Amino acid sequence: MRARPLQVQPERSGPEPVLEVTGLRVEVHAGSAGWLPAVEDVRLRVGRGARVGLVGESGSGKSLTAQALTGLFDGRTLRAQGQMRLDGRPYELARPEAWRDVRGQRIGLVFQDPLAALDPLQRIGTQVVEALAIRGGGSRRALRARAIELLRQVGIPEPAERVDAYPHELSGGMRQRVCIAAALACDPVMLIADEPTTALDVTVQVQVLELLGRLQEDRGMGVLLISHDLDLVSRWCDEVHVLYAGAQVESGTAARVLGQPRHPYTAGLLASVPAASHRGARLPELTGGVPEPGRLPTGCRFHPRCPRADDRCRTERPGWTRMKDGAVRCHHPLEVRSGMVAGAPEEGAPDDHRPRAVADATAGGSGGGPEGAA
Amino acid sequence: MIRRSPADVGAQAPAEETSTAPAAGEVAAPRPFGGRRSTGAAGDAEAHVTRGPSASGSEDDEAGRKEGDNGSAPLLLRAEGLIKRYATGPRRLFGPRQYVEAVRGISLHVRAGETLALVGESGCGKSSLARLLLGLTPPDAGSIELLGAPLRAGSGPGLRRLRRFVQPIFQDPLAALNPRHPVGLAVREGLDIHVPEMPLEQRKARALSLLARVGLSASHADRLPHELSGGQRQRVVIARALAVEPRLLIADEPTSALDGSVQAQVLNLLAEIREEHALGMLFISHDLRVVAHVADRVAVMYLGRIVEEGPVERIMRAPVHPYTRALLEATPRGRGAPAAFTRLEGEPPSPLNPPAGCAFHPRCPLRRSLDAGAAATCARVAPDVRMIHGDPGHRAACPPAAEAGRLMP
Repeated sequence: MRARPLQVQPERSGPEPVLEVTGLRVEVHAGSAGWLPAVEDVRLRVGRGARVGLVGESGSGKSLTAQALTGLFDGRTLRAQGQMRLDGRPYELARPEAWRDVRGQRIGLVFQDPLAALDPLQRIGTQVVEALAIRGGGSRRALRARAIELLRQVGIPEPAERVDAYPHELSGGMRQRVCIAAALACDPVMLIADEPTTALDVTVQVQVLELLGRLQEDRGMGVLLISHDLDLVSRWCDEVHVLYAGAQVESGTAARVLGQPRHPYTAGLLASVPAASHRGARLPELTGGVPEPGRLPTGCRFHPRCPRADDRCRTERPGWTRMKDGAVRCHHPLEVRSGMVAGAPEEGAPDDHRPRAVADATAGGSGGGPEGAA
Repeated sequence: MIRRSPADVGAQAPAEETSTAPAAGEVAAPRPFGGRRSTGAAGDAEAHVTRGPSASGSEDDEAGRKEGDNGSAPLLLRAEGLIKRYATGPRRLFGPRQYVEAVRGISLHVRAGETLALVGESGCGKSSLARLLLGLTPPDAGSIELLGAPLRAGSGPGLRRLRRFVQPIFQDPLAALNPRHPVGLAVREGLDIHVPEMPLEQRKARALSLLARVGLSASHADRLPHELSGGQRQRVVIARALAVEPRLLIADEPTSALDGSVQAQVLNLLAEIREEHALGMLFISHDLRVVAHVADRVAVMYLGRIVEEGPVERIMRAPVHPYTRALLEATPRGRGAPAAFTRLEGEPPSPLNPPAGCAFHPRCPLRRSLDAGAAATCARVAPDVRMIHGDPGHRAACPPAAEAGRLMP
C-alpha cells in the first residue's frame, strides 16, 4: 500500500496546488421558486500531477461543480460564487466572462458523451486544429501536423488517415479519444473529466482510463475525475471527495475513503454496490433518495436516510472533522473497522490495482500537491 | 456479415456456420425491394430449423444441473436457434439490400423461479433478443416456446394472451409510462385490458395493493410519472408488470438508469417478487456486478451469439471464454478484486461487419498465445458452444480455452 497523506483543508499552508477552490456555491434558477442552492461550500484542492475524484449520485452537484469551475454558465439559469486559484492565479467564479480564456487553454474538458461534444459536420482533424488554433501559431499545415501527432498520442490508429474522418465514422471509444486530444491541444495544467467513460463499454472504459492515466503522468496535469462509480474512482484516483445533495460529506485519500469510509453515506453507497459476495442475500440499501434543491432537509442533509441520525443531526449542520488521511462532515462518523460496512474492503485494496506507479516523482518534481503535508 | 440480399442467405451460409446457426431456409424467397414480411415467421421457421448445438440445450442441462438449480421447475421459456436480421443501408430501387444480423443463432431457456442473466456490451444483440422473446418482432429463423406453446410475434389477440404470461421491464421508466396517466391508472391498465370482467372498484383496489407491494403509498397513485423519482417510477413499472400475474419477466437493463443507492432497492424488490411468485426472469445487463448478484445462470453474448453460459458462480469464478475473462477483469470491482486492469485490444466490432470465424478473434488475448495453425482456425471457423468437461451446466464457444481450461487456475 502506498502512503500519500492528503491535506484536505485548503487553508492550511503547503506547496502550491494546481487548482484550489474555496467557498464554491452554485445556484440554479427554478422558475417561481427563485434561486435555489444546488452546491454549497465546496472546497477542492488538486495537486500538480494528482488525480482527484468527485463522486456522488445524480443530483449531488458534481456536474454543476464542473460547470462552475469552467465558467460554463450564463447567470440566467445557473450562477456561481467562490474563489478559484489556478496555477497560482486567482479567479472570481461569479464572473466567468472575465476568465473565459482559461477554459480550453488552462483547463481541458472531457464530457460524458463524445458524440454531443463533437461537431457532426466537421472532420475530427478540423476540430482538433480549431482547439490548437486557440493558442495561435503556425500555418495550416503545421497545425494539421500537430493535430495528427495529438491523435497519435491518444491512440487513434492511422492518425494521418483518420484525421479526415467525421465523428460518426468512429466508434464511441475513438470519439472519446478525439475529445481528449482536443482537450489537450493547448497543454492545459488541469483536466476536468465529467463521467468520461460512463457511455463506453467496460472493455473500452479500461482503455480510455489507461490512456488518461498515461497522458496525465506524461504531462504532469492535475485531473478532476467526476464519476458516479465508486469502484472506478477507487481504482483510478489518489484522492476522493464525496458529494451528497450539493455538499461535501467526506474527503481523503481514495484508499481511505473507499476502503475505510467514515461517513454513513459513503459506507452505505459502497455497501449497496452489488457483488457476488451478496448473492442470495438482500443488498444493504439506503432508503429513500437524494433530496432536490429547495427541499433540502435541515441539519445534516443525509439525516433522513441515515441509520445513525439523532436530534443533533436533524438540527445542526455538521462541520468538518479532521482525521488521518482526510476529513468527514458527520456528527457520528463511523468507527474505524466499523461492522456497518457489509463486505468491508481490505484497507488499501483499491491501490493495489492502480494501473500506474505512484506519481510521487511527478509531484515531487513540481513541488508537490497536497501530498507530503501530513 | 453483410448479406447481399435475403435471397442469398439460406443458400450461402458458409459451411462452418451451419454448425452454430441453424440454416435459415425460410427466408430464401426474395422480397422485392426489401418489402415487409408478414408476421408468423416464427411458426414457419420451426419446420426448417435443424437443431444446432445449442447454448442451453435443455437435455444436457437435465443431466448437468447443479444443486440449487431448479431442474424440475416448469420450463417457461425455450428459444432455439434464433436469428434476427435487419435491413440496413440505403434503399435502392433495383440493387440488393444489405442486412445486419443482430441475433445469430441463439438458444436459451428459463425455468420458473430462475433468473437467467444475459450479459454483453453494446451492440451485442441482447436487446434485439429481448424484443424477439417479448414477441415485439418476429425472428427470421428459430423458434420460441412459452410454456411449451409456440410464440407467434405480432399484435392482436395473440400478443394479448402473450402479455399475460410475459411482461417487460425496460431501462427507462419515464419512456415506459404514459406521461399523462396517473401511475395508479398505469398499474390498473393491465387489469382493464386483461380482466375487464373484474369490477372497477376491485381493479382499483388491486392497483393500490400492487403499489403498496412495491413500496409506494396510495398518495402516489394520483401522481404523474414526472412527479416521481427515477426509482419510484421503476417501482411503478414493476407493479404494472405484476398486475397481470405473469410467469416470466424480461428485464432489459432495469437498474442502469438508477443511482447506486436506489439500484440496490430495486434489485432487492425484484428478488423478493421473484421469490413470492416463483417468477422466471431474463435479466439483461451490461454490469457484471449486478449480474453476479441477481442471476442463477449467466449467458455471455458477443456479437449476436452466446459465447459462454453456465451457473453464475462458475462464470464468475472460473470463466473459460477469453471474452468472459476480459469482461470480468475490466469490470471495476475495486475492493478486493484480484485482477489488475487487463486491457483488451480494440473495440467491439460492428455487427454490420462481423469478423469471420470466431467473432472475438481479432481482440482475443488467448489467440496470440496459440500456434499458427490453431490461430488460423479461430479466424476461419466459428466455434460451437461445447460443454466444459467436468463442469456441469457450463459451456463455452472456445475450443482452445476449453482445452487449456483444465490447466488454468
